[in-house]
Amino acid sequence: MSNSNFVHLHVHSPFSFLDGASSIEDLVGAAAGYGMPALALTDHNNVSGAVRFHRACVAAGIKPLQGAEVTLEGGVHLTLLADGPDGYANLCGLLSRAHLDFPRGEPQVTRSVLAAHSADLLALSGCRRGEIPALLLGRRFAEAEEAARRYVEVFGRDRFFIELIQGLLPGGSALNRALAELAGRLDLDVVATNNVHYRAGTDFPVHDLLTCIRNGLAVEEVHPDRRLNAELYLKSPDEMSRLFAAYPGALARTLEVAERCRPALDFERCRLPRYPLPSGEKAAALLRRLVYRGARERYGGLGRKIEERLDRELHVICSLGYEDYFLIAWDAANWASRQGIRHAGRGSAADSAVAYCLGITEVDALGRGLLFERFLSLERAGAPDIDIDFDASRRDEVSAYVCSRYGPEHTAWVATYSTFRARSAVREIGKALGFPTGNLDRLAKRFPHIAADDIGQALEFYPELRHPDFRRPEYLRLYRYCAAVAGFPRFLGTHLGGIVISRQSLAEISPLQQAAKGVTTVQFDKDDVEDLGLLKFDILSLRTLGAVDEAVRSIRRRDPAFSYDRIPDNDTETYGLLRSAETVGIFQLESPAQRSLQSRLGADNMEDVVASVALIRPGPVQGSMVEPYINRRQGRETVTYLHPKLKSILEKTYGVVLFQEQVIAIATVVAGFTPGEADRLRRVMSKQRSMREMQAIGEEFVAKAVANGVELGTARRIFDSLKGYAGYGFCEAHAAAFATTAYRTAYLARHHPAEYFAAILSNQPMGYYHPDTICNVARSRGVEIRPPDINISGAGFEVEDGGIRVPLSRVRGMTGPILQDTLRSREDGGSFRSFADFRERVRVPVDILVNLILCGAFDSLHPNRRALLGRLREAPFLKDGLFPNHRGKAVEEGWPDFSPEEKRAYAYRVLGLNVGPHPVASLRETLTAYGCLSSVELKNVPDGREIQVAGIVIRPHRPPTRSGRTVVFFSLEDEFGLTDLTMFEDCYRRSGWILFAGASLVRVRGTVQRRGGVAVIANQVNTL
Amino acid sequence: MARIIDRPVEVTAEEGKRPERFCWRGRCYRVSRVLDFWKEVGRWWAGEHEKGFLRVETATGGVFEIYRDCASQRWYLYKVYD
Repeated sequence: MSNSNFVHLHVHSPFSFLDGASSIEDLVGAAAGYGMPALALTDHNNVSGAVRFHRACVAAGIKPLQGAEVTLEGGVHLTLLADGPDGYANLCGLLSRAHLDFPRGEPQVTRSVLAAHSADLLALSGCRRGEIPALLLGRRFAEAEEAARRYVEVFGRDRFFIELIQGLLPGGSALNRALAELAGRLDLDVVATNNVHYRAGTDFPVHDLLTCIRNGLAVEEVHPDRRLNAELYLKSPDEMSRLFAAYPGALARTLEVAERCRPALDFERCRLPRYPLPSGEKAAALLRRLVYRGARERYGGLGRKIEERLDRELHVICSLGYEDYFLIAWDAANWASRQGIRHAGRGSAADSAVAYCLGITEVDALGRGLLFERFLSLERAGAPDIDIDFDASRRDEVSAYVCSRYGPEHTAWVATYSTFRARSAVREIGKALGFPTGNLDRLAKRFPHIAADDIGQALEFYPELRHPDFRRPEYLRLYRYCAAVAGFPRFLGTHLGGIVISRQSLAEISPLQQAAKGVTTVQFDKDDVEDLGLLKFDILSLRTLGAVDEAVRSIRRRDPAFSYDRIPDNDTETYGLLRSAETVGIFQLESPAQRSLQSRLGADNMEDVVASVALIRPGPVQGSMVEPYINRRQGRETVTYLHPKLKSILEKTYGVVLFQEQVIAIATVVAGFTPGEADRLRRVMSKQRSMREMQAIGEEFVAKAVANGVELGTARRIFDSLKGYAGYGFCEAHAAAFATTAYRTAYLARHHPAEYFAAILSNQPMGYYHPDTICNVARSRGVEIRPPDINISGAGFEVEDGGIRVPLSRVRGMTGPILQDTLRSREDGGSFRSFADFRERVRVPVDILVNLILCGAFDSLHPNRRALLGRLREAPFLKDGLFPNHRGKAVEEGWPDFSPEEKRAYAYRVLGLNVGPHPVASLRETLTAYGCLSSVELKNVPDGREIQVAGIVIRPHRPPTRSGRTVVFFSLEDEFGLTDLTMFEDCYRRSGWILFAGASLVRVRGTVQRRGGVAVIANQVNTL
Repeated sequence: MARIIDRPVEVTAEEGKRPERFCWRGRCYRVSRVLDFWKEVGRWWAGEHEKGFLRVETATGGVFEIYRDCASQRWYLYKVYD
């Protein structure tokens, strides 16, 4: 270990966003390894890495110095360090102004803002882009001195330092001499830094590649941001001593600066927000009043059981100080209800009867016997999570309301970081290295969604990645660079729904900045926000709720009395639909695994739907729970209990432990665990923590159960049954919340298919399937899908005499003003009388006109699409392959129209949907000749028969399995519907990998499997 | 004005110290002082190695840029200032 005579005060991490090439942990580890007592973090204009930097420094036993390299007006840099919490608050304040007062992505600190926030900050004159070094390099010595004097005025002589960097660049030594002379003249101290951008010199290529990505360059291109050499690494104290032998004081000063600074982040302060109460009102009293009022509405009155439950919950909520949090959630949900914005609480909050009575959730926690302790208990640390889904199309109204309610100083969106993963790293680093885009696309698409440092393993494991091209030396080098940037943040984004609400001004806790969608965000992600003691309120958007709202409005046009909220939960036809497994388009129940479950479960009540939502999760599937559950539900297997005490807990799930709440209840009832202990057991199990932890809590469980009168062997067997549950727990409250929506959407699909499918088509993207599959399913229910019509279609999918009319917005290019102009012209001037009339009234670019013609939007006025195309004097479509045999020639009127197959193909290209016959239908004769059965014919084939099927590949996926072996689930779509297939590892490795290498139309040889419904076990896959 | 030469040259230097002289086109030049020094990585992606550059003034008043390839340890005359 070197002598610790030096501390790095100017260090960039990956949170400098593509300008830092080593992780915070690596940088801190190296500094600690060199015996440095402290390390600074000075990312560009942000403190996003501050929390994890603090944690890493504490773990390494060194002091974290929080700072930033800020950009001043004119683009010059200045290095700032906070000398403690107050300095940090000032740093956040000035960065907030830099971001919010200037265009997004171009933050600048004005001189007045710098002066206003300079207290408790230390300033270093910066790198070559600092004002003083830049002036000196330009030989503007007097101006440099003048600038230095201004900084001294702002910070004071003891807080402003001249920064010396020996980056071994041309002119570097002369610059340092000039800087030192200037410092001498003004009686300022000098400090040595190395403007660190990576841990070691060998990391330089990674930094150079990131610089290329940041500037959109290939490595062969020259750019001033690209560094000349590899010297900006975290040099050892010895190396710095050699480089600064002429300035020993500059090294020693770094230690003095570090000693002056205290850790700046405050993790202890309570920042929970306050709900704005009426004068003289107390939060706890208001909450109680609202809860009891809600209880009377929900239950039609109060009773001892209800009051006891509510009082117990209220006691816990108020004891932990979360009454304001509940009021805030109630206020948001209540406001949304008043505005007619559909919403539903999700997650463990549905375990709370208080949340139910406040209208935050729709699950009767008391009626279902849900355990409040799963959500909140006196012994549990950490804020509870109240998540509410709102209609996606109106969610922003709710978030805007919340932000205005608590003020812009106290509310902001939580940030997210888009990080490098295998696909993005391959694409971006490959592009910088000059790989052809087509090759990168072909490669990236074959990668599953894995981390960038798992590429090496993926190359060995996945047959679709075994192409020799992907193993050439230049590709292997690419993968090494990808691994080096794994997990690095690429840019700061906005969380899907998380908003922080703080009692303290947020600008003192985090810099605020403008997000692309126009909202204000903090610079921390959800984990950092929680560490900082900020409360995150999830205002989530759920497109299903938007679709429901749209479908309900559509249904009410012909049935004004229809009420979604009063859909009966015992509709036999709805359960019949579920049992038929025709559940494509139904919330949570549409995946192939869910459809397979539905065909075997025999659902006939809401509890079956709740169990369905919980069963098809990686855990229960991996834990082989699904089959025993179905067998018990069907009465093919006896329901037994290891101990009589388990009966009341597990009765509704046929003796199978399915929900997290059941684990807590078993621990409480059998072993006498307190709610806090039981929740700890639940977390140990559901998070798959260490075996040692599991063993320790197991011994505790058994000992307490025995003390509670349970026989030793039984106690052990009960714990073993819980252990088997480890990793696949699901929250019953969450399942119940989703099940309500799942059942009701099934009801809509069964009784109002046109309205429902039109609504989900209008709210894309949503759900599991491409809209084309949804259209196909709608057709199979007798709902005709009609092509766009220039005189009928609107902006969304609409129901028209029991069919669905494809909207003009679906036509490629028909968006924004062009769509609005078209609709307005039709509304104002009546139907278009001809193509010429349309062109006269609406100005539409010729390529969009071509699209409108090709999809049949003018068929009702001009049935011959090819002849109509010929009328366009501008003819870019001639270059577009539409008339391959007539390139360059004018298209004449009177030509025969396109064939039906051509029409279908062109319309699909323009709409991304099939409005005519299914493409597989035209291949049916050939497929029959091959011996392929259709999805309809397959329904009558007995179990075990060898068959062939063909169709369009839908959603091939490989969920994790307990054995680790690959199992692929996918569907094939033909003109009659879907066939679900399962492919095991042998077939996948032999031929099935082509599903992940771009094959879209395939023929599969396989074996019929009848288990409730019909499925196929694939044995051989070929492209068609 | 400067001309880029980029040809190998013989340089006399004690290990770890600045060059004392170099010979080019049959003529030897004594280095009187180092005006500047820096490092460049070059086209690392094409296998180039780091180079240590020196801008030197010779006893005869000429200004030259020489560099040493860090991998091969060979010296090159990079640029001559007229």
